[in-house]
Amino acid sequence: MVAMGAFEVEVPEKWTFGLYQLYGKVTGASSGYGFFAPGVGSQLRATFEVYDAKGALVATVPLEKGENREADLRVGNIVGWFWKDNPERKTQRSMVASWAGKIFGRYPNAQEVVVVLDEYHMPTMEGYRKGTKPHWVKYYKAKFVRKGAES
Amino acid sequence: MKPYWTKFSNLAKTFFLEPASARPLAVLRISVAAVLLLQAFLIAPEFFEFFGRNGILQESLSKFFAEPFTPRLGPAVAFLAKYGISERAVLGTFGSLYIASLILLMVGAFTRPAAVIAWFCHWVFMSSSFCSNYGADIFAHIFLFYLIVVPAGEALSVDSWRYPRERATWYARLSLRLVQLHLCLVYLSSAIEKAPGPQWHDGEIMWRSLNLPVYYQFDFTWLANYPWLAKGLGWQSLAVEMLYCVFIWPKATRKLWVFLTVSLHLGIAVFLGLHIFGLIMAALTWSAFGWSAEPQAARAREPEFTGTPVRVTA
Repeated sequence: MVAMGAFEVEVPEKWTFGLYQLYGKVTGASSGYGFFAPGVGSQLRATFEVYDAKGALVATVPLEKGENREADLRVGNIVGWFWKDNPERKTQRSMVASWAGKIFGRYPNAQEVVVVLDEYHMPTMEGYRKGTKPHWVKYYKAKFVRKGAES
Repeated sequence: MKPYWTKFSNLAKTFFLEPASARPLAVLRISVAAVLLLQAFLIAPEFFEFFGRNGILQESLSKFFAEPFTPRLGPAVAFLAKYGISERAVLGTFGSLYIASLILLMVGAFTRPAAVIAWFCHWVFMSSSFCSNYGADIFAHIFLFYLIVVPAGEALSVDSWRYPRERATWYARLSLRLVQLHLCLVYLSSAIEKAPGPQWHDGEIMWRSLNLPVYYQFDFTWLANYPWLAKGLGWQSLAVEMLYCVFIWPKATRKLWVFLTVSLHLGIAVFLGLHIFGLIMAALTWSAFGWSAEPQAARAREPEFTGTPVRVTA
């Protein structure tokens, strides 16, 4: 099972009545190990523009609190799932709404939160030598208003 | 035909079943538990953000993304709320249980029950915050399960105090071989998946991973002026992984490969900021291949009595 998991050989559930898959989950034996394979992709960043009742920008903050690397890395992984939902886009709006909710929690006086997702564009080494700089490109934007503040 | 079969059978028997010390498995137990304790300490300030029903991903989303038929905290919290038990109490108890089991596992007290509890709690945490997981969690889940079934408490542990001296058993050898073969498969499959990637051939993998904001620790933009260096580092990493299952076995090359692999993972920890992943991966190879399992070697490390015997007379 370890070899089959490692080499991503799928066993249909009906062959083993799901027992193979269950054992794989329990032990982790069916895991794949393709980290950084076949290469490193891009990165998605979530930032939040916080506005007060007068419409003034109070703060622009990331979802990560910056307390430590491990926690921030995990938050980054959650943000990365926004991409994985493509192309179905079943949960994208719910995901950003969930994050916006956290920001409303951090800023009790906020009336509006704008979620901005940016994708990092990394040039190749050759491109960088020729002067292309890495930069963020807007990928998604959504506005959330605190309940009761719409009227 | 028969002599060849007998020879093969004897070789296999020696390889898998020759009595061995449980010391490498004990090192595996101590190092995995220590790294997971460190991880728990780092996550603790944002514990409720990751695992709470109103965390960064609310319960409905966590449930949507979680793998089916895996144990999660959400349903337990909802069930216990009916009896007036708060979410904080449930999560706090579960988190404390996890920490306690890791401490017991690390010192080797009630090793097997501690391993069962640590593995289960870790699985529940993984399933409850599925979207935040990464490689370190997968390896922790796998090797915590191994720690339930292997005799990891038979050396360097509180449990082993009851033995007059370290025992050499066939199941310690078999357990160690399973762990070692698993690691060989991990590195081989990982290298095979990486090998066709153009980024690994032209060094872009190093350039991108060292400079992407998510992994950025130090300024490596200067690497663009030395593409041969990026290329060399990429090929070197690929070679260490691809040839792991070949050079980790012979005594002549084992120490070198342990050194190269541990260095690779410590490099990942330091330069990509993947501290827990780098530490746990380094710990796996270090414990599985960096320690002798030979019973003589285990005994040789035992402190010998060097004092002068004294006759006691009444």
